[in-house]
Amino acid sequence: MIARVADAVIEIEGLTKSYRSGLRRTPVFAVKQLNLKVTAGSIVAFVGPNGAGKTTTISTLLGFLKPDAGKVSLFGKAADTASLRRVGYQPEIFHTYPFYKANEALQYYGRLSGMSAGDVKQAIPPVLDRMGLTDAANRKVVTFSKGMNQRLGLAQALLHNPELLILDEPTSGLDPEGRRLVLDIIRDEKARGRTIFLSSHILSDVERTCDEVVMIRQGEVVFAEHLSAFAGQSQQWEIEVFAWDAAVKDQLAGLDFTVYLELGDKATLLCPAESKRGLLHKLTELPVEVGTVQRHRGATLEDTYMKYVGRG
Amino acid sequence: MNRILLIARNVFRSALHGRLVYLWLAGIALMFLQALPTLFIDFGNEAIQTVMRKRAVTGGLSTWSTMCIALSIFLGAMAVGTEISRKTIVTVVSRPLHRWEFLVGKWIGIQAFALLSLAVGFFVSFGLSRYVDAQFETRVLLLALAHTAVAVLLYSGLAIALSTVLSPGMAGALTIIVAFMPAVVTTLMNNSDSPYHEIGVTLNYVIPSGYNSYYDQTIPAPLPPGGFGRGGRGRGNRNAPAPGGDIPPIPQANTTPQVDFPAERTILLKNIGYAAVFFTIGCAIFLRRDLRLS
Repeated sequence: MIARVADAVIEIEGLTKSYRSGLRRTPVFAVKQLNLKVTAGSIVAFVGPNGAGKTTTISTLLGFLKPDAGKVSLFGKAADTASLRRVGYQPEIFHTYPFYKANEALQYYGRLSGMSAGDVKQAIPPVLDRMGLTDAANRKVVTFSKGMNQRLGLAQALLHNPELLILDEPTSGLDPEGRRLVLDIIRDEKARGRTIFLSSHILSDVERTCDEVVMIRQGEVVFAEHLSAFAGQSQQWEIEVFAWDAAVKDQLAGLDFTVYLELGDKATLLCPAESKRGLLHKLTELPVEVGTVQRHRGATLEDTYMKYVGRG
Repeated sequence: MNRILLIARNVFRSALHGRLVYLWLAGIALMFLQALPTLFIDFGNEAIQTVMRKRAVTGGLSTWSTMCIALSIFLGAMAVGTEISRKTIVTVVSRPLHRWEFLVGKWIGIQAFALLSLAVGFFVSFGLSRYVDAQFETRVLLLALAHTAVAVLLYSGLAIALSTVLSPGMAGALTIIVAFMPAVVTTLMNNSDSPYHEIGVTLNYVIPSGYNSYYDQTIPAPLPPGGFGRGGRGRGNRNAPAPGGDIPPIPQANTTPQVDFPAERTILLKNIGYAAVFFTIGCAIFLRRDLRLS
């Protein structure tokens, strides 16, 4: 049964998790007071640099780690066998037993997920086909390339048709073709009503697939927004003006624009599309030179990432 | 139950594919090869020949069973630590599976592999016993096999329990120490000095009685009167008397079995109890511990 759209599939409240290190067992906080909510049917990206606390958060969600404080729930309750049955998890690097062939590994994981032997047998060929691994079904996984291994990792997460997919760096180590395949599968799964929570470093992948982004730095959420918010800002226009000074600015008073950037006698003006024509007409009457006129790029996901998470 | 059996089957397959298991099998094969000359060399005395052959069969089975116990300790010590270090545990515990089910599956898989190895050893020994025309003493044989099976249960359970918190090397080493402790405990308990005796008594509660091997009594092999008698001078033994001289008789270890079956049954039951306690403690620790992946 797929959860209703408004339902919170993942809910994290005030999660704190520390690790102890050294002789004095000094606590090092991996996650501090983290709050997060993922609603059914959405794709939420969990973005942050290495060591930001992404894997710790996912590990706590899946019950690998016990939180120091806070509450973590899947489908409204703490991770237990009933809720984990509805989850498919792909680790950052998929490790399996070297003696398995691809289809044997999937049989093992499918059965562990509670599928009957018959269901597993039926489910394996289409999943391998989706991953482009049909020809490798009877090959030992130890002979797989890194990319094939990652795709097998996604296959085992999808096999039991879970409602929630938790993907840790799903495109890591994939070539462009493999990356595209995985992103297409993620979008397909979203279209099927699945909820997807993925951690990633690759912002272009996030922009192409996700509905929401949550940025984490040093264990704390520093930014959370719908990706549609980024597209909305590109409705404005940029006009580059040379020989800019205060007198010119006074001459433009009353027009709908803002000074986006001022560098010496050069300025970049920002105006809504409907004011562009009037502003340009006025500028041609003034002792200035008009440079580039282009649609304003707005703050991209990368700009936002660098602002909130980047070290610069 | 299905999931436990899946884990158990996986352990079994994993054991079959581990390179160290092939070294173990090679070791066992070498030990049997060592016993083979005894089976085929002509001692020049039929009575002695029979005794030596019978002892070669029981000795081989005894060695095989010891190796089974060693293997179960080795596999138990690697049960959790290796899964964590290789990160194969991630895609298992993220499924609808209790952590205790994971450990029970591991335990069952190790038992199955070690006991199957024991069965192979038994059938090889049985075949050899037919070849030398010897009869196993059924009750003693069953007791000896039960001791091995319970030792596999006990030491693999302890090794698994220790592997939930220690590295494979440490878990294996500690289990081996516990396996050798009963002799130390007995020595301490028999010591008349108060502190040693008390330490022995205390340890006696913690350390299980462990493994008693009765394989040397599974085929009665009484020596002929006079021991090796004529022609019994061993090769390279320069101090041995000349042929026909007096040789002190070898102790009659393999005459009629002298086994206190009720006492042994109690020891076996106690060992099973210890195995259950150790394993339960291991499960309780494993349920609470963090599984760090990075």
